[in-house]
Amino acid sequence: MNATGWHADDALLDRYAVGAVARADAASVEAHVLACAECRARLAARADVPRLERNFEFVLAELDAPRRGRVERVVVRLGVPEHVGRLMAATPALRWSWFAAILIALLFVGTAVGEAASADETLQGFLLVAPLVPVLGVALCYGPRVDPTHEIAVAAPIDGFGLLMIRSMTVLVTSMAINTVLSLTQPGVVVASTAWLVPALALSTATLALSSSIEGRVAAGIVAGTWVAAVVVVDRVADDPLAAFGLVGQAVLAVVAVAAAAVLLARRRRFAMLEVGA
Amino acid sequence: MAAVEAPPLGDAELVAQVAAGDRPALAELYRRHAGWLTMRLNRRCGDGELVDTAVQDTFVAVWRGARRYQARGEVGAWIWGIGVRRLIDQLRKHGGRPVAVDEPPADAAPSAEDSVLRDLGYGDVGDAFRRLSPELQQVLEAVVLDGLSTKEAGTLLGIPQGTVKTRLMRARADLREELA
Repeated sequence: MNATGWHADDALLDRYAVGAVARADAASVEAHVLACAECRARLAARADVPRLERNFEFVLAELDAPRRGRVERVVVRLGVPEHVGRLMAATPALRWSWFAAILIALLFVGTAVGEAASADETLQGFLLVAPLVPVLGVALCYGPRVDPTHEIAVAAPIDGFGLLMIRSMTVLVTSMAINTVLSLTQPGVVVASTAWLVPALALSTATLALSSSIEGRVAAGIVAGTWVAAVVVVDRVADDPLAAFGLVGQAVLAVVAVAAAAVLLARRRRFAMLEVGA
Repeated sequence: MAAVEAPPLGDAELVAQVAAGDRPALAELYRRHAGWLTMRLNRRCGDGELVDTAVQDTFVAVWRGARRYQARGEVGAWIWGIGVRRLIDQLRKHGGRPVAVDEPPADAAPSAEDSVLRDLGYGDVGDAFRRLSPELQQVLEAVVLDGLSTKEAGTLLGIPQGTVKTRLMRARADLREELA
């Protein structure tokens, strides 16, 4: 492809290789080298070989690295930064097994309670369990024992609080999606599809706030226990399975959510220390 | 490696082997093309790290996209097309202005340079090009030689697309006048 019979002379290539030629000459070299394997090889002989070898090692490493998972590709395409996307995808709660377990548990509650009890009691069962889904997810998304990426997370250039928030939001959004779908199967669709929202928010924020001073799973246990006890007690006292989800109940839970969020913000620094000691 | 001699396999065959998942073929393609690509990208961007990343990304893309290579045109030109766009991706991602490659002082070897340009059939064009301001040269280089769109050229040079367009018009007018 070199019809001119011209080849770049050694002096020109020497100067090109160190970036010391004027643009017009560089243009000649560049146009010529694209088509001339011989001058390409002569130019390659002037290259910084250790640099090239190092770069090729990176290429090979990239070829051997696992491709991004489906979740990661989707969230990155939605504009989430790459490193955040990886953390989100690595959130244990996002694993399919977790999804499946939650779905089965909720369906079980829905149908098993529905066998024997009134529609209101079925709904109570659902509303009792649905807000616990994100709590469980939040508890499972952090800490050395449950998180296989914990070592990486500790070393990540993102503070513990930021990481916790990213993952909690991931868990919240996915849990809400699950709950929304399941609430459509419940009797009294309008109540079911909205009444669990505030409790879910309150319980997961409370779990996060508590985990600023105690271990995440313990915090989740305390919150879940308190929640179940409260719903049962209110039910007994008012003799209405849905009493806890009425207007007053929702208002109380909203206050809990706001208070917990305030605590969480005030203690955000604690998370950086927690993860080192955890 | 003593064999500077052109090996039996052509670049196009190598790309075909890479498409079939042959790593040694990729290594050979890299050996032939990474050198000039790095130098050429270095002339466009003074940040060595961005250039290194762009070169790495290029050969990863070659590996994954080898099947898409159409056997028209030079493999080198195909690789350049990938490489310069990977560099632009890097510049876009890091938002930083590319470090301008300053025009080096005119070298005291005009005869060699002249012969280069004449032999390429660029004699008069080369002289006219040389008389353009560095800004106009830069834009011509990015659009004509590097094959970039005005938008890509703007990212590469760190100037607005509109400026690329006006400089390009100006450079073409100047060249026409010089060559008339």
